[in-house]
Amino acid sequence: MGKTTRRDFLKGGVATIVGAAAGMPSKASAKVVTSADFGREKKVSVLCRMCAQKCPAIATVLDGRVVRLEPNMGTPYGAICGRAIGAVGATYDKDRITKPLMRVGKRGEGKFKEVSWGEALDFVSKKLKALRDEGDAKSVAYLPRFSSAGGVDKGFFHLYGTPNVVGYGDTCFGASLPVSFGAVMGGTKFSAVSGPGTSAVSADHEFAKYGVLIQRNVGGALVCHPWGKTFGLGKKNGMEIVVVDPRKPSEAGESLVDWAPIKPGTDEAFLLGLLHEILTKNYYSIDHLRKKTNADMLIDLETGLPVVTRKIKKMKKGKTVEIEDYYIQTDSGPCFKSQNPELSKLFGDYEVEDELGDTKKCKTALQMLLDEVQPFTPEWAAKVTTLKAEQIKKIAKRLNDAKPACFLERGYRSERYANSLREKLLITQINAILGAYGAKGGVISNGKVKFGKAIKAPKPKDISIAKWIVKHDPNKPLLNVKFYRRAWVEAVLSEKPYKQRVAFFWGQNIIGGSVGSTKIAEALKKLEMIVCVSPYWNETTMYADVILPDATFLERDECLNGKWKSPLATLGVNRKAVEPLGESKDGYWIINQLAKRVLSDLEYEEHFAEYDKIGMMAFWKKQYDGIHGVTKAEKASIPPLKDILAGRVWAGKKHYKIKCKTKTGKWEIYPTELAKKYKELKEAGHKDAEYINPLPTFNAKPFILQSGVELENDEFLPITGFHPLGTFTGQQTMNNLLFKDITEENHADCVFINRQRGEKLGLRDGDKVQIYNPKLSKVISTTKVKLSEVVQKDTLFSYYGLTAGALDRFSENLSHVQKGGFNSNHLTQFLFSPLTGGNPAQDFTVKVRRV
Amino acid sequence: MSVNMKCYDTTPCIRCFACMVGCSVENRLRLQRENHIGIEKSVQGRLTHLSHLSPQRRELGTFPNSRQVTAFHHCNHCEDAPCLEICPVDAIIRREGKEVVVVQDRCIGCSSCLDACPFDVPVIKNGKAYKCHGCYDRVENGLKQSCVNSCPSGAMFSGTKEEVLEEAHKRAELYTKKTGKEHVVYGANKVNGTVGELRWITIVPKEDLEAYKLDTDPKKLAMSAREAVKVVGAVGSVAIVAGSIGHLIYWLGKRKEKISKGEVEEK
Amino acid sequence: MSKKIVVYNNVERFFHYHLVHLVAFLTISGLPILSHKFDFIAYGLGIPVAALTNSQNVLSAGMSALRFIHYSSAFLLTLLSIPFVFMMLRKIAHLSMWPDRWGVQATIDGFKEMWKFYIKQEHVRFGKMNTGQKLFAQVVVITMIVLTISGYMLVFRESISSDLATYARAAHAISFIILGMMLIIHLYLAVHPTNKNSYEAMFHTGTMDEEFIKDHHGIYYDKLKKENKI
Repeated sequence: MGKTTRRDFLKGGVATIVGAAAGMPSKASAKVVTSADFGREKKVSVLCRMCAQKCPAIATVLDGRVVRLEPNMGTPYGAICGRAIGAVGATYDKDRITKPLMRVGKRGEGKFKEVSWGEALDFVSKKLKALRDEGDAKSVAYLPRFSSAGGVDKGFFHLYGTPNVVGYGDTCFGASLPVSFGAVMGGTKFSAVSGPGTSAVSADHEFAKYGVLIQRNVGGALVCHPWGKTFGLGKKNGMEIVVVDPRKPSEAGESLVDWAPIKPGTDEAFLLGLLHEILTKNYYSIDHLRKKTNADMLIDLETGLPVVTRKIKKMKKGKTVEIEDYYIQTDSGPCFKSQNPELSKLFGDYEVEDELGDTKKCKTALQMLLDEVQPFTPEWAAKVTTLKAEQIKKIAKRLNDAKPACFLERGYRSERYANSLREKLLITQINAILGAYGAKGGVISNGKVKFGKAIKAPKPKDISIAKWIVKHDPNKPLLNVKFYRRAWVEAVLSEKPYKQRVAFFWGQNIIGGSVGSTKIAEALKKLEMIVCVSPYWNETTMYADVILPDATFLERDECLNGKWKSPLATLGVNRKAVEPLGESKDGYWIINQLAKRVLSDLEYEEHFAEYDKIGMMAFWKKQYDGIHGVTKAEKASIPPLKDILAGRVWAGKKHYKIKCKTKTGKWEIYPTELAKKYKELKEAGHKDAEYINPLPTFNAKPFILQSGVELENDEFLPITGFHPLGTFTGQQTMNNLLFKDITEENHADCVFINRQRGEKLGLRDGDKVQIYNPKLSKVISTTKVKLSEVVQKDTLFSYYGLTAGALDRFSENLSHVQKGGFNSNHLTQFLFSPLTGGNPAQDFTVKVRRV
Repeated sequence: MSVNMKCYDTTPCIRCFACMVGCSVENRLRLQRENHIGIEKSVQGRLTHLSHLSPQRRELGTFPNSRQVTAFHHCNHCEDAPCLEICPVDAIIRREGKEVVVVQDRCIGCSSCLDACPFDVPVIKNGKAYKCHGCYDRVENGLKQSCVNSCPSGAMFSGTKEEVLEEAHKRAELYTKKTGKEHVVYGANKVNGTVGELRWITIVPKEDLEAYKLDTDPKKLAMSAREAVKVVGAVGSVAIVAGSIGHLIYWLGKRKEKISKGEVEEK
Repeated sequence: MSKKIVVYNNVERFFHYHLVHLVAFLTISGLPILSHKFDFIAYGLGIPVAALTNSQNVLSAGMSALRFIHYSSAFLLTLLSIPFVFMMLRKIAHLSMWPDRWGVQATIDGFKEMWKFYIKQEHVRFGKMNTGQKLFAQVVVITMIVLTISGYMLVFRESISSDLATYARAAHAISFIILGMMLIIHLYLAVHPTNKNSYEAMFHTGTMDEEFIKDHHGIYYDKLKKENKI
């Protein structure tokens, strides 16, 4: 069958002069495209990796090229965003690294020469093997971020013998979010419920009546599947929104969307004002509090802990579980909750005898919260936040009208201020008090499919740096032992508990993506070898000794994936659509090559020989055969492996529930485990104890509010947000021509400040400016400024990751990225949030001056 | 075949620009399919003229009573498309589904369509006019338009005129009820005599029509004046020719009379 | 034998002769863009051009050819105008297109004189140009200036804003229509038997008899006398 072309189509005949004179235009019949044209195109199931959310998509392949990405509608919430659709611009970016590179010149200069894979792999393996033979495998750190060997890479490094598989999430979701959520809902040792950070819960936008977008904007930002979709569905159903944000974003909606233009860093004050309204105006259901929360728990005023507890056994879903029972007050005196669950008092001061017979002064948890929140009136909050008290009151009332079909967004990239933990704690407490958790239109737990392990590695015998820090570093007792890339940097500098000699980065830009860029670069200089696996240039690749180009997601198979931020347990896989460009290789090939060179023959035989023989099926089989974590009925409905591999995405049922794993079995609006830790730190005289005070306080502030000094005329508070077509510090969007028309129209390469403030400084729209941190003045960013009406007065807003920033040497390798621009991380000192070792990404000030 | 209609709903739109990127990518796919320019080559160029959808963002009001509104710039596939009317080489046609399409091979890049379009849609590049063609090749093969296909939040939808109008009005009613502010469907009814109805309609709060640059009386003043003068010119020219012929006849007759009366000499 | 007075010099006659041709080309090549009713012109040229270039698009071929003719003619006209305009500017104070007597009443009187001559066929006193001719000359100057400026704006329309280009297009069309209607009258009167002497002067001799001037352009005769040219 011949291929029809657009040129073949004009069948309109030549009109005669007579006909034309009569005024009849000749008819041009247009292109005849048949479904055969569309039928020639191959469809491949992929999981987009333009950001980290892996939204299921279908790639269309024509003549060996990916020509289209569209959403995979195999789940009820099939959706992909503009970045995914522009993925072809990232895969076919001619500035991509497609050959292995090795450093020439000094580390950090960014000068490389092309080498063969053999040479590069031999070089890396030689060093790894030597360290392993020395018994110093622990000096090798593996730092994955955008890994193309998921399911196998971490196992390999554990096999290798290092305990230091360093997650990146301490700069995003992995520090304060798990602690705060786990404090109220329980989990494993201050980690969140069904996984760390953001994956735990989703707001049920689709059926919500009212939502508060705070700390994160669902629309336009990441997690298109499913949050972008469910947000759209919610708006279609009439969901009302207020956006609490120093900058009014378009993505939440541009008509009839309330805006609370809050001063950066003062979210805690806003939340305290909100809590004050909720508690003093009784915006809650007593029945709900009594049934679901520990509002009625009697708290010993001296210790801050439940006055009397005991362990009892309870039946839960046909299983016997042990829960912690606690004292409540009733009309006939105190008793255990299990003895009289319906008649507990929610308020009051009482005196109760504890187990030792001592009389203790107590309050109910709710009474404590109510008493402690008194100073934080909406009027007080208005002063701190520069909002209007009326607006805070209105928000509280709307929440009450809508509850339980309401939510406060939990926030995504949660690490912004020293007190991020307190902000998250308040959000969780408020959602709990309103009854939003588990409710239709509220906040529900996400589903997950767990697999058998592709690589079963024995646990390394050395202690990981993170576990050592939790025990020995008084500044980081709440460090998340899975996510600690910046604490790792500190360990490199301090050499405690032991020296770090090799860093193996996979798809990670630690310098551009973390607080303390310049210090991190300094630390990297100490290492003996740095390997970067990456198809894209960024600040960190400039410091590599070896760059191994892995293939982009459209060019590779991956292990099965079961983790999304979706209420439905979902199972899918990324399949290879086209051959890798140049000499880039998929991640599993790279790991296999390293394994061949580094591991012993026996080890290789056990873990990798089968992959060597039959490829990815070796891993897929192991994964599929070990599926768990879903209900029996769901498991029965999962299609066979071959269907999954052919592109079928499976999604389970939506369960309106919230996983609560507290010891008490209740939603602890008075978080008892946190209270325990708080007591411990207070008794030890820890300077940062107040950061985990379980009660509403305002004693543990962000760095920017601690001095109490007003901002100077030329001083601003920097905040960032994702542009809908930008991700992280990524060449995949920064250098992508498919996005340029739009990002230019939006002035995404500029910083935005309030028009009035700018005019007072003598600035004009579009002026070239220099921006620097007064505490780190040697790093200066040069960029353009826009004067805006939708930016709060103290704020300096920038889109994250769409310009090179001050440390812009890497942009010389990118045709479509200019030098300069603004990445706020480049201007930060190497500081940590108290206790969690978190990443205070916005917790500093900047000064602006015209060039 | 029924009229194909597209609808943009400003309420669930999350301003993610997937529609706009989708349009750009789909046209590069067409370049590959029809002109054998591989997509790996075409993504090295901006090809703005192949991005038929673009944002026009601006700020309204003063802080803190301020907001940003992104007007959606696109062809409306007007019922009485002025571009189609004016094209001197009949390079603009209407498909069965009533999409208004530029036939590239006939176009001579004279920019008449751009002059005539009250929405300033056509882009002239390298001697040809480009604009949204409604993905008629996809639609005529049972697929949705690329922008509709790309939208994650249900803000873009399409179908037959009847289907789309029903859904659009249903949504507008719901939003009106929930928000207390009247929502309208711009383009569903005749907008004005210049463009007629639109085949790309928008659901928007009535008070925001201007903010989204949805013109309730779209016209090009200069071109309307030109049209009016053309009519005067046509009528006037005919009158002048007739008048001249009439004068000649009269003059000859009068001269004959004068000669016969002896008042003038015959020459 | 009556003396011959030069009424149109070489430059004027050369300019006018080629102006006629170029304006004809410009008009014919421009009409199809102005209105679909003139598509037959484009087809007329398009059929042979399309056949020669193996194209299926007759109308487009014709229009493209007409565009070439229009641009070329316009450019030639610009070149042609330069010496003529220079000459006119040098004697700008003495141009025949200025009224002999100024004022609304004088203008009305001038039209009355024309009515007397062209309708009642009576003897009247005209200047070198009658009121109608002066009006026509002024309209020509203005519309040609607008056509030229707007025309070049349209040639380079990619370098200016599209709004400006649209205004230029409208101005171009409107000026043409005004000029066109006046041209019809001008053409009619140019070939009218009563104006045979003027026709001869413009296209052949460049001169008129002194007696004829005295008789038919009395005000002009008096002016020449005053300037000692007779």
